[in-house]
Amino acid sequence: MRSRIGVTGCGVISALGTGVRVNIAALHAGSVPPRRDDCLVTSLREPPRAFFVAAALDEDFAPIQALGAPRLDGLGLLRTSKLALVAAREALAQAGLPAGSAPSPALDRARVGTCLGTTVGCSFDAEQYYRACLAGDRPGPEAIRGYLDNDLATVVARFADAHGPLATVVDACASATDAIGLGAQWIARGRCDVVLAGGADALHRFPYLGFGVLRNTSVRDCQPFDRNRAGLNLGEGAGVLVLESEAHARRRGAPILGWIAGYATASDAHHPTAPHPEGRGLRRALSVALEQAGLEPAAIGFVHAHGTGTVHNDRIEGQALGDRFGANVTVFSTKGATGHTMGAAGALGAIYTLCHLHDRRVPPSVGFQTPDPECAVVPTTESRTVASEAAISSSLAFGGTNSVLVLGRGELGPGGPP
Amino acid sequence: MSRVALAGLGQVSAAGAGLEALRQALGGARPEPEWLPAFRGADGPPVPVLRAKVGHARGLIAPGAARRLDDFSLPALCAALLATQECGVRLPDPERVGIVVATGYGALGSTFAFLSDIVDKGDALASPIHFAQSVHNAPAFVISSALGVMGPSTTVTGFALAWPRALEMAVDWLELGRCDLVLLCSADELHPVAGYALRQLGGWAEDGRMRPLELDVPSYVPGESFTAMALGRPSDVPASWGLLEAPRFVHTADPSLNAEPAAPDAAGPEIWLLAASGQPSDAAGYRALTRGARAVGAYGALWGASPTADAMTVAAAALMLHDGALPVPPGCERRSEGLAPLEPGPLAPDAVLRCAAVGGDGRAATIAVRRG
Repeated sequence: MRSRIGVTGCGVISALGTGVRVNIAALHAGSVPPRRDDCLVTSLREPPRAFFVAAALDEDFAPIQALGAPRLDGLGLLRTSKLALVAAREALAQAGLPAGSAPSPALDRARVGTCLGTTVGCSFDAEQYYRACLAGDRPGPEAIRGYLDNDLATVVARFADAHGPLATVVDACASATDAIGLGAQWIARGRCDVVLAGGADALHRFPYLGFGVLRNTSVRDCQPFDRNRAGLNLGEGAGVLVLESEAHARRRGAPILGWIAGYATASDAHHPTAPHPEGRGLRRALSVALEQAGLEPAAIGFVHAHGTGTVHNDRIEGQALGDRFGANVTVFSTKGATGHTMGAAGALGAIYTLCHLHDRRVPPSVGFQTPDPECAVVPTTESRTVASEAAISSSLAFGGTNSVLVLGRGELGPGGPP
Repeated sequence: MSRVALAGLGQVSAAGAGLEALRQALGGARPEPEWLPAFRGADGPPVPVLRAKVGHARGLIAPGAARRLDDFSLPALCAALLATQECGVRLPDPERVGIVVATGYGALGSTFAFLSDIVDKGDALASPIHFAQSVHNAPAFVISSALGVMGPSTTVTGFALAWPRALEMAVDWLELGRCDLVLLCSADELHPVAGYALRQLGGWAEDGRMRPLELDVPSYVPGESFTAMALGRPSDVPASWGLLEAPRFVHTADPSLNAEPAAPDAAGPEIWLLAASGQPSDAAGYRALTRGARAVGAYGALWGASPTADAMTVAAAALMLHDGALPVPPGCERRSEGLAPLEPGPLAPDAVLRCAAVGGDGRAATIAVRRG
């Protein structure tokens, strides 16, 4: 990055709860959200384990939508959008920026961008609508209207009254990481002072059954990097970061919670749903991101790994990380606590990483018990102290996308003191 | 203003596949709409659409590989191969080639195929291939895999202006030195279910004839289109198909929101080509953009409307400049008051075609295209 990109606000919602610090406390406690088999109806005999946001979004959401009035009035917001707005509200509040159109002399709204990632939230996969069509019920236009009204970046931009650049990034499970990278690029190129960046995805039957037929999911709690790992657990959630040029943040006196020090993405060009056997794209993304950050591998204190708990992902990711940072590198995955939140995963990873950098403490990898020599790295089994100024968050995705963020430690911790 | 060289250009649309097909369509061979068949269980009237025809371009793909691709990724790959192989573009170091794709609706066919499987076969027996192909970034993978390119790859979506944003990203990657060549693609397919759904929103041209410059008259005809542009730095690659300026994004409804110092001057010598698509909701935006313009045209009747059809307008502009002639804009016999007529005929060597697209919330993008 040519100019320094700070993070001045973060917001998270996941199966662990609502709020950055709620999530971090749960990660350190090794919490595993309870099963909620009532959230998704399926005829599968052995339904894979999944993680759902427990918050009653419908009840809690009305005040948030009201904050976005009148620009959100009349929109039938879908669950992915609601998750994103819950996270955006927290992030804006922490950054000291108003939601909605409340006056803010410190902010030129034409220079506020919105860059969100999603993978489920962009698809017209309305199963009930389709079934109604097939049944000859001639369903009305509500479903298509809802789909067209819920472009994720547009919804969040309306909420924040942001009039700068706008993009919804759809790189499957690397979407949020790439959205953060693109948002940082907008600031570095001088287009924006501030960018709301991150990702969101709700979990419903389409991805749940899709990952299931790919034989990627597990009926048990997932076990990232474990020798006995049997697949991933899907989850849902959202993470939003307020990215800001250092100059702009200093001018308005906003504390810097962390830095986007480097970002890169690279393709495997190998397989639509499996990583390259030697982690070709991931290795390149790691190299380019470190180069961009101007850091040697030794400067990286820990890695928040993609670590989904599938046989191939963890073996290939572990080997690439071990080769780059050494077998003793501090690595962990939070997928055992949150599930794999798809298009939101990279945002959760980035926010968690910033918190761990600030707190100088990383959490246990929930679900991990038995090392797998093929993974080349051994993830954390308990909260561990780390002293470093930089860390990495990685994302691997369908389509052979590999994306890496290098994050730097800030002045204050996201979400307040630990 | 940043500029990139257009070294290769490919397209698949209702006009057919490749530049010769587009040239013929621009020359007067206007594609006829098809009537999308009703899908099972739906009894609405048929929907006029302009469907993409892959035609000979399928031959660029190995037969086995083509069979495995859906109607979203296959034409996108064809467009990419047309822009590279057919245009003689030599790919540099595969790690220095990037891919940016813009799509609005994504993989509708595979999405509904997967849902059909769930309905017909049950939760456990849907096709994993349909699911894998249902992601919006499927074409980016297919292209990267077929061409063996391993640089950065990103797909962006949106129901308007996603493609200009993708172009901006490609320009950034080239100027920042992250890539030596970027394949910039657009991809949007149709599906009967989506056709049924969109039809309920109204505004269709029942005769299947889009009249894009009657700005206040609904004449929407959905179309499928796929483009690919091989972009490089002008110092590194030949601008065989022209030069593209980085897009300018403007707010037409409230100019005070424009971060850029000045919107393009409509009263200048440039010729304006609108990506208008028979949607009256865009009328105010196009009027605001072209106030004072000396010549305004639109060619969307050749390929129909889709969230990323603005890429087709730019592709057509590049071809017109290359060929040195401005064709008769189809379906523009009548135009809204205030839109200056466009005189078909030869284009001066230094002509500039400014392509414009209007999106939601009063946002718009303009892209200037020049001869290489």
